[in-house]
Amino acid sequence: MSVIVWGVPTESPVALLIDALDRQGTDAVILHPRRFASQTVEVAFRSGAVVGSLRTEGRTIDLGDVTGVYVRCVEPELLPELSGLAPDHPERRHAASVYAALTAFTEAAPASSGCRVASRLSSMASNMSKPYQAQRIQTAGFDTPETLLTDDPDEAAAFLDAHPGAIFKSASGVRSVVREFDPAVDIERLGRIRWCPVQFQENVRGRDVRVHVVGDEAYAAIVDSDATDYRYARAQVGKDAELARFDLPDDLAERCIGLATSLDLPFAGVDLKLAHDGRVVCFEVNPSPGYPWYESEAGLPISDALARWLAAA
Amino acid sequence: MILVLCDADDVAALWLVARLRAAGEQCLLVTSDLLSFARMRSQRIGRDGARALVRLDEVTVIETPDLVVNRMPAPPTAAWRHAAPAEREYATAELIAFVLSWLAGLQCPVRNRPEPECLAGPAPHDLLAAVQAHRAGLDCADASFGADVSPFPLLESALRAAGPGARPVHAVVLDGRILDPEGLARRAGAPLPARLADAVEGFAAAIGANRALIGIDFVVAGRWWFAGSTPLPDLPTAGDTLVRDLTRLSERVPA
Repeated sequence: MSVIVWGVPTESPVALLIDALDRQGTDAVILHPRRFASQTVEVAFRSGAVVGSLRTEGRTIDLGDVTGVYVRCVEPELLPELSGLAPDHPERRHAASVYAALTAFTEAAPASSGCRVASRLSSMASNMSKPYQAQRIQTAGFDTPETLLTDDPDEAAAFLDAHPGAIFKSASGVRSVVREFDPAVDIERLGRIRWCPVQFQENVRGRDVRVHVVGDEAYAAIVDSDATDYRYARAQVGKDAELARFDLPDDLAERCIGLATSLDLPFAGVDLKLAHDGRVVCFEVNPSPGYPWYESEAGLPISDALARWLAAA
Repeated sequence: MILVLCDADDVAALWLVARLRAAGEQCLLVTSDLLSFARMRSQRIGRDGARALVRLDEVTVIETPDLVVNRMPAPPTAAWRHAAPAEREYATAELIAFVLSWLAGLQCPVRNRPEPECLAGPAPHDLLAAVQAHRAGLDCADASFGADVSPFPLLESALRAAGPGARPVHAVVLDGRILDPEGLARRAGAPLPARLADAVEGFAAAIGANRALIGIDFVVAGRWWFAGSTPLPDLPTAGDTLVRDLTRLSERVPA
């Protein structure tokens, strides 16, 4: 039995997982997105089941022998090897066909055979809209920050007055640095929101906790930082955030696992804040968490848990 | 008020608006372009849930419609058509985020609520659709999803399995029910198999379309071969049954 690792092996989340699979003696089939030329994937629907095979680096694997797939792929259009090539160039078409076949397999295999996928690309898409995801988060029993999406400068100004220190950030999955609204600098720019709604949020004061859900397990780290966005603490407050293992209360762990399950994300990074007013506020669920920082700094065995989960189908 | 969201060239949506108005319904047609140039788009999400307001002009405000028929496959980006590519891409992502959240948060029935991977509603991958259709009891032909696969693998495989003389037909399915099954049988030139209605209901539930308006394609030649599903059904094929059932939906008090 094998686990497919669909990602760039030198990228740290992928590298840690490959090491963990090796430690537990699981055969890892690495599908490097940039080595598409040496890969062939055949996927088919036959008599009600998903079948197929893949060939990479001289090996052929029956997809029926795959227990799990870790998805941290790169879309063909982003591959440097393909830049400048015409859309119908054979290399571009081949890369696209490999990507399409693997997407088909990862979308359907969990329903067809119980193969474990962390995570399906379609499921990762819930993170494309943070306010949409916030509504799903509320359904799972968490508080979310008071949020306004608007393209009306007057409405935004009223919200900012009512929520001193409010922050703004992208509403989509496009990565943005979370920043406090600074009236002295930003008030002049409010008029620019006219053509596209912008997301404003109350600034919840408290301690950040990142929970990594792996199947039905949860691993948490608590963050010590004064930065608005602790990922960019050095730039924002001149000092890196410090992480430590955090013993998550059982009920909170169960809610995090339930939330990730409801989003069909067996591997997820749940961003919480233990607010000074006693609330547990959930900001978002990262569908493909970059976990190595939390693993190395807080000593969380996330890659081992992920490797176990992928091999256990 | 029934709100119909669509692209300006969506003939099926325009047909629906005309029929709803002819049936005496108050119906607001909002195209993607109109939404792109709206005076105000706003949504609040907090401890009290979500509420939204879209002001199209001085008099037209969308706040609490009775029913939304959503047929927008793409976000309202017309205002960004001439922007620099990087700006346009960012705005597109943000507008997808807004539309997804806005329609997800409305209290009234919405057919279809957008899905993160498709704003128009449930749109499972073809291979997953085949797996779920087979499980639900629909006839599914073998199909390939490997190199150089067709853009319509399920339709092509269904046509191949059915052989010469097969007839493609389109079923409009609302909340798991085939609308106007008699008309569908007429178009197919064959009676509906006894188990088809149950299988369609099971398929709709499996793909998250038990509260959705979808189309299912079949290729009929003795057997009814499943040939794919779409969140953008060809509405006129369901005729007055669709108009009547949507009107009833708009009259329901939300739970």
